[in-house]
Amino acid sequence: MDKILRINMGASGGPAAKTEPLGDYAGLGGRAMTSGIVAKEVPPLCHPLGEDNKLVIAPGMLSGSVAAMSGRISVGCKSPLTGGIKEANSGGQPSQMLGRLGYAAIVLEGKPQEKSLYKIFINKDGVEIKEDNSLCMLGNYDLVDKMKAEYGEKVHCISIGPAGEMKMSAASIAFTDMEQRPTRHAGRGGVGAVMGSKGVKAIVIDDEGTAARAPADPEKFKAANKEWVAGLRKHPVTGEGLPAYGTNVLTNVINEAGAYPTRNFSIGQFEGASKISGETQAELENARGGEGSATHGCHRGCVIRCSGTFYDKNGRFLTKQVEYETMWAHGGNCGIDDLDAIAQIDRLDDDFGVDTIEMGATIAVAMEGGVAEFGDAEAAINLVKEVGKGTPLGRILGNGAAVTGQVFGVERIPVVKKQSMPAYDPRAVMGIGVTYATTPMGADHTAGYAVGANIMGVGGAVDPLKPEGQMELARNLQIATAILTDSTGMCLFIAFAILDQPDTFQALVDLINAFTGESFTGDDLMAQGKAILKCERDFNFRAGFTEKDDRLPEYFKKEPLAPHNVTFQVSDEDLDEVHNY
Amino acid sequence: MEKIDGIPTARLSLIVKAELVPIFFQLLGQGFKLNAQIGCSVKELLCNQLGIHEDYLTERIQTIFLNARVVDDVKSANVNEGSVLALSGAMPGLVGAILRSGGIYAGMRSQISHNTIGASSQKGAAQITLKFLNLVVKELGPTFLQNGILIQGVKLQEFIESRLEDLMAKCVAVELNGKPFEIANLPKADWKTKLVLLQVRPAKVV
Repeated sequence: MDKILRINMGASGGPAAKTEPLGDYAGLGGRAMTSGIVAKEVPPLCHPLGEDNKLVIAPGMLSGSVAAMSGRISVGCKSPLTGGIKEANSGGQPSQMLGRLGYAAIVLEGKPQEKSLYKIFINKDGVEIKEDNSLCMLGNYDLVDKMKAEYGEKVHCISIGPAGEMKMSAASIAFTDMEQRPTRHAGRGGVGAVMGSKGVKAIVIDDEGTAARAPADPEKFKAANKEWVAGLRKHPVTGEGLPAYGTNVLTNVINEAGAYPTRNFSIGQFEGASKISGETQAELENARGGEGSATHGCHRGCVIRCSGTFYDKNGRFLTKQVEYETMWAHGGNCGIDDLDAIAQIDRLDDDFGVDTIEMGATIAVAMEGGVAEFGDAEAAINLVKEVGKGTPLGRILGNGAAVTGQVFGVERIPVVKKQSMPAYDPRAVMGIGVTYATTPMGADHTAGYAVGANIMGVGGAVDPLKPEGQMELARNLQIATAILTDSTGMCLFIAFAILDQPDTFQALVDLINAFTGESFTGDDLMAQGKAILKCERDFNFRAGFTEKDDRLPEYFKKEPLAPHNVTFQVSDEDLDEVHNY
Repeated sequence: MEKIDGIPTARLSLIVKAELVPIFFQLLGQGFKLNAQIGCSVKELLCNQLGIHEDYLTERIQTIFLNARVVDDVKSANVNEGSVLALSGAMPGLVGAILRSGGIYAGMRSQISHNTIGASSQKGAAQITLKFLNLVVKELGPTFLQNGILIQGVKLQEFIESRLEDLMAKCVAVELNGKPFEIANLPKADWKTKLVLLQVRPAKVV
C-alpha cells in the first residue's frame, strides 16, 4: 500500500481524483491512518457535513496480505453524531481488495457543487467517477445488485443506504461480505452521513489482476502466520465458543451477571434473554440449515468464523447472523424476545444503512417516551421503516438517541458524547463505564479491548483490585486497542488468544515485523497507540470538548440497577486520570 | 405421585432422535433444580457431588456466577439453600474477559464479584438451581439430561408448546410416571402445578 487516493468532490468541472505518495502517513494503517489524516487536515470546528470535513477509508496495516484475520477496514471523519473525531471499523471484503490495489487510504474531500449522487469505480487501471442519480434512495441490497449487474459479478462495494443520503447521524457505511451482501457496516458515529454529504453513493472495487501484498521476509511471515492461526484455533473462545455461537453467546452470560441493559437501561436482567441467546439462535440456524448457517467468516482469511447466516422460516436468506450488540439493542433493550423479528430489523438496518446499536438504543428511548410499548416488535419494525422512508418521525429517530430523547422529553438517555451506549450496563461493570466515558469516540465497547497490557509488559505493575488499577487497565486497554487491532486491520476477537497465550501474542508481533521488515517491540506498539489517542483527544479539545464530556449521564450515578442495586461510582477525578500519560 | 418439598413431582421420560437433544439445552440454560448437600464450596458441589472432573472445572468452566455474582475462587464461595449457580465457558469481548473467574480484569467488575466475607453457611440437604450455558451445556448437557433434571412445570409447559412440532416429529417414546404416554397428549397435560423430573435419552441407532 504505497499510495493515497484523494477525490475532491467539489472540484470545478466535477469530482476529480488524484493519487499521491504516502508522505507523512507512511507506515500507518486503519485507525492510525484515519485519525492521522483527520487530525491533521480537518478543521476541528468545521461542520461535519460541510466541505471542510473529510471521509477517510483506510485498510488495516496488514490488509491485502495473506495474514489471517487482517481484513478489517477503518472509516474516519469528524462525526456528525458526536461532533468529535470518529473511527468506525468493519469487516467485509473491501479492505483486502483495497490493500491488493495498493491504496493505503481513500480520502473523500470537498462537496459537490450540484446536488447529485456519484458512484466511484476502482480497479487496477485506475479510478472512474460517474454521476448516477438513478441510485437515489436505493437500499444497500438493491444498490449492490445494480452495481454487480453493471460492473460484474466479482466486484465488492462500499456504500450508503437512504439514511446516509438523508445525512442522518445514525447512518452507517456498508461493506459487502464474501457473498457480496451489504451486511458489514462501519456503524458508529454517523460516518454514512458524511459519505452522503460528499454525494458518494457507492465505491465499487474490482481487484482482478492484482496479487496479495508481499511481506518483507516471506519465510518468517509464513512461519509466524502458521503459528498465529494455530494459536487462534486452539483457544476456547476463538477456536470453539465464537464459531459455535457467534458473538451472541454473550446474551445469557451478561444477563446472568445482571449487566444486561433492559428496557432502556432500566434493569440489568431480561426475562426473555434465553429466547434470543446465542445458544438458541445457533440451534435455530442449525435446524433451518442452509449454507453458512451457524458458522461463517465475514471476510476471506478469517479463521475464527464467528458469523453466520440467518434464513427465515421458509429457508430464504434474511440477514447475517445477528450480532450480540444488535440482538441486545433491538431485543432486550426494547423488551423484545422474538428472534425472527429482531433478524428482520437487522436486515432493515443494513438495507437503510443505519447503526444497529444507535437504532436499537434510539427505539428504546422512543419507547420510554411513549412512542411505542416496550416489547412491541411490530411497532419497532415500523419505526425503523419510518427511518428508511425519511418521514418526520423517521428523521428524528435516524439522528440517534440523544436527539430522540430530547424531542420526546426523555430524561434517561444512555449516551456519552451523544453516542449510544452498547450492551453492557456500566453500573454493573464499572470498568466498561470508564471506557465509555473516556474514549474519544463516545460510548464504545470496542475502544478498550482485552489485549493484554500486562502481557506486553508495559505500563508498570497493575493491581486490578484497586480503583487506580482500574484506571490504569482502562488506559492501557485503550492504548493497546488503538494500535494492535484498530490499526493493523486485525479483527478484535484476536484479543482472547493474545491475552491467554503469550506464544500467540508473540506470533502476532512476529507477523507484523516479518511483513513490515521492522523490529517493533511491545513498547514501540504501545507508544504508537498512545500517539493515536493523543492526536484524537487533541482534535476533540480543539473541537470544543472538555473533561466534562468524559462523563456518563448523571442518572447512572443516582439510579441503582437491579438486581445488584449498584450505581456507577468512579469519581470524575479518577476519570480525568485515565489519559494522564 | 411423588412429592419434592411438598410439591407434586411428575417423572417424564423421553426417548428422542439424537438430533433433537440440543433443543432441551434451552431448559438447562434457564436453570434446573437440584437437591444437593449445601454448606459446601462451589468446587465441592461440582466435583464431589456432581462428578465434574477437576481439570474440566479449571480449564473449561471459565466464568462462574453464584447468585448473579462472579465467583473468582471456587474453593471459598459457598453454596447455600436456594443458591443459583451458572456455569459458562470463556467469553468473548472486553466484558467477557472482565467476567472471567479470577481473570486479570476482575477489578473492573468489583461491584458484582462474589464476596465470601461474612457469608454464613448451613450444612444439610436443600434445593439449589443450576444453569449450564454455551460450551458447558453442549458438553455436560447430554449427561445431565440422561440422568434427569428437575424443572418447574410452567417452564416445561411453555417449552412443549413452543417445540411441539419438533417433539411430534422426533420423539420416539414417552413415559409419564413409568407408564407409556401419547406424544400428542404432552401439551394437554397439566404441568403448571408440578415439578417435573425430565429425562431425555437419545434413541439407539439400529
